[in-house]
Amino acid sequence: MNAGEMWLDEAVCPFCSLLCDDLRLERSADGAVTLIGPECPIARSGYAQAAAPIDQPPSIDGEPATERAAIERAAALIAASAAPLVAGMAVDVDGVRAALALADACGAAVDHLQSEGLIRLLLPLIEGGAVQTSLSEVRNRADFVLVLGPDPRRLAPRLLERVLPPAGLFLPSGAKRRLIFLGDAPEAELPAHLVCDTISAPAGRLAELVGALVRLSSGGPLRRPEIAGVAVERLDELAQQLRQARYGVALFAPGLMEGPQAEPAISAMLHLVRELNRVTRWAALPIAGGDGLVGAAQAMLWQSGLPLRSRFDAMGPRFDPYRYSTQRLLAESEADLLLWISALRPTPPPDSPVPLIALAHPQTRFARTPSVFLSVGVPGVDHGGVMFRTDGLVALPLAPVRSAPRRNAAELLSAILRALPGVAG
Amino acid sequence: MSGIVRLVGGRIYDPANGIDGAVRDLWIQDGHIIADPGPSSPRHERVDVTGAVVMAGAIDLHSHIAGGKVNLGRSLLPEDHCDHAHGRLGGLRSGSGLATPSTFSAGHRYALMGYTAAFEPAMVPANARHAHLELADTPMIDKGAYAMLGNDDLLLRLIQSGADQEDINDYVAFMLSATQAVAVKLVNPGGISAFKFNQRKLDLDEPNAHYGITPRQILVKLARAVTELGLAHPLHVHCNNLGVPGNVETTLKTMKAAEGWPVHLTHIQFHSYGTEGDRRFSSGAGRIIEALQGHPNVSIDVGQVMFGQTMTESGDTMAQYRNRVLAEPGRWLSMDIECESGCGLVPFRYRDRSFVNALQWSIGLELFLTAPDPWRVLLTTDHPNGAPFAFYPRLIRLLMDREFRAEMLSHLHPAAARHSALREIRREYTLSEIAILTRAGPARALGLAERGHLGPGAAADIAVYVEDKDRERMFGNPMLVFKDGRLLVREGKILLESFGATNVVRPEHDGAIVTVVERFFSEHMTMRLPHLRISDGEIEGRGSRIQVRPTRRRSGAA
Repeated sequence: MNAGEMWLDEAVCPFCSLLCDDLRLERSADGAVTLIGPECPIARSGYAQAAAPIDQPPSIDGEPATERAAIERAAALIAASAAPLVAGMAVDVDGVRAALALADACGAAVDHLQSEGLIRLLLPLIEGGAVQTSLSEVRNRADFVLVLGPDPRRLAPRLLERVLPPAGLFLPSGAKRRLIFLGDAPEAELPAHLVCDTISAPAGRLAELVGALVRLSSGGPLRRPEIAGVAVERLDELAQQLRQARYGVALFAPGLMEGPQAEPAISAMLHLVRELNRVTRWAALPIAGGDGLVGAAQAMLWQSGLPLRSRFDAMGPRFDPYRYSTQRLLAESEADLLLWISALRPTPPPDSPVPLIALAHPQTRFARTPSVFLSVGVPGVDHGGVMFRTDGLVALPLAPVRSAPRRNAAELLSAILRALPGVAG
Repeated sequence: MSGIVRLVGGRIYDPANGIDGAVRDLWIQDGHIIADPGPSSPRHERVDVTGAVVMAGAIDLHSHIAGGKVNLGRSLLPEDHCDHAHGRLGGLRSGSGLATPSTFSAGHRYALMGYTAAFEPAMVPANARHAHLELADTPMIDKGAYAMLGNDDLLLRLIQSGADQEDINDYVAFMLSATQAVAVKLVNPGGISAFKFNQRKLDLDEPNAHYGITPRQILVKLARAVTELGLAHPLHVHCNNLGVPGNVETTLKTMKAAEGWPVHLTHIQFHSYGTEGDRRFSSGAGRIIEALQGHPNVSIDVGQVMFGQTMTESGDTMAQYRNRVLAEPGRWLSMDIECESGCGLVPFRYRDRSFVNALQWSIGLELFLTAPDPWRVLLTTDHPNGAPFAFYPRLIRLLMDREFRAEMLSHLHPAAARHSALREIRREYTLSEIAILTRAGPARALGLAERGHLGPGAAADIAVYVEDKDRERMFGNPMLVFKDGRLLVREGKILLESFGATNVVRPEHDGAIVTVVERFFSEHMTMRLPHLRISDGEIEGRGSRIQVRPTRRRSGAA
């Protein structure tokens, strides 16, 4: 090993919602970080994008500026804005906390770049509730897993390795877990120790299939020979298997389930899981998008009491999942300023004519020159912090894996807040 | 030397020091109360509180204010937040919610009632980092969290395999330190685990289907561990069979089962139900109070029900699954958590016109009003399960004002009013007894030696109330609130936002247990053990001071 190279064990990966904490990393003399293993395409590209810690200087309207000047310009733009939007929010929990303090002070709407999936799950949840579980419970108990809709491994490549290894504490030894894909086919190879099957359906018809399972699993007859192209006998057989599971788990990725039938499908699935608990144990495990979505959702809830896509009005926070989406606020010109935070990946903000303050990954390529640009470090690479896992329960500590000149987004956001007129330093 | 403040002319209610309404000045310096310096009084600032009631800051030893289940509650009932939103006032953060308030709102509201500390009683170790993040954003008050143990598969395996008590003690000590907890909470002993194996009920002597061990065994092991580790607060127990008619039998058996080890039975109102009467639902309060006399090792808090909308949130998934049919509005959530625990959320609307709710209300008050020793009966609503903590001033009025009780009784479901023992109870709590229930009692129960009283050396956590016959108005609107000597609140206004301490314990343990836990985590869990541990920096770096509470040294340790 050359001088300056270093190996790190048990690193926490910040790039998807599984937050695997068993990574081996190598850091080269120039600060570049490479994944040694276990292999994962999202982790590999995340560390590759984090690249060597070369900094991009702050800029105002494309011209290099001091950090102080950029912070002051950002504060002045925010102070002049009547309807600011704080979005992106792809950052660790401390970055979110600092962004929310700023959003509260300036009366901003708050959204996250992956909130579509969050809202898709939240609305059915508010309608009827849910039975949910967490990763270690699935790993040790699940003998039957139903995957609904698109393969969640697209968001979390190591999902099955992490939660469905061959053995589990409460699985009879030698027993094989069953894994059924309902609606969409698996998108990658499946482990040989699982007994797998697929019941495909045309796009947009998952809700019908799940609705039929609700009826069949509670003993109700179906008078049609097939549902969405699937023979009712096949569904009935599946319904009986669901009832016979000892601990069944419904896995799904709300962020991947697009189209008008996504919400009804999730709603039906939560209903199915609730109903199955009358006879045996079942639980749902949503696989969330990355970009710090779960932590942003959690911190928003505890700090404001309401979910993302709320606005800090003079009378208090107001929740409106349609009105306060980034896309709609910008499309309808209801926001007059965008503060974009994307520290984990170089995700560009949506193109919009409103002034843009970007606290962004240094590799970000903008469609329009930001009014203010401040490059920020990658959480878990350039600085420490905390992120939440997809089950929303486990928050993991991130440690910096190199010393970098890049600033922590939380520090910059706090500095902008202090620079706002009327806020004591 | 910093400035001295003298509160002049207040009536002091300080039961820990035997002071019951005496008119005395109170001297504050460097965040503490100091002895009256006598005639040679040094330079000081005079604060005139003539005729006002002066008590130590109040302490809530059981209030679900932080962590995963609270956030799930916030998600599940946005109505609570839409209906109770408030903007920024005086530069303070905005917020929302009454049953599951946002963290800043919770801290502010506590301070505005004269509370200076609150303890989160159900921190799941896997969710501990989350709970501490929320506590870090809860201003004004001191805080602390109880680690939930007793349904964790690792502990159940240790007990099943016949581990020595010493090993259990080491494990408990390790988990307390790793998660920065201050006490141990046991919820439905073994029942949360049993529910994961599809058991739907579990009595004190009924074995867990997988492990074959009983709630009684878990209770004794943990009560003994907590005592032998020298924690100030006894094992904090939520008994089996919460909410089930007839569960008073389980509660009485649990008192006996503790075998003399100190235990605190929490929200006992929910565990004091008989099966008498046409509706097979009756008060067991009398039997509980009678049994307390014979069990000096047992203390309780009440978990009073107050009428209105709330959210119930509990680690007891078994009970909450049963309660889902009572959900109003009709939605509920249950979650199994990391081979450790679970949580269940069911929104409730307690109605005075419901027989069961009215009787629950009555049973809570009966427990308070027939308990001879207020030191062992502490004031809680099990926030938000019986009611949001914002209802404490009204609850205090119910205890102090029998005419108000009679007025409330007249609105109750008639059959519940007929069955209520309250009709015969004339007792009215005194100010001194209220100070025990809300200050001195919880401070003693938690071992907060410098809190809950006003003697020299005590922390200057002080609430000053203007005397008012309407005790709800009086306790809901203190004239002044000091925290560690700093004036935070004056007449309904927050003057200064501060962040209190996080109370923790660090009992010693043998390092051998760490190897056992480490192996369990790396073989079976989806998080490595080093990542469970919460460093001091994680708490201090977010603005909270850590206050380590004393425990006993390990026997044989140097």
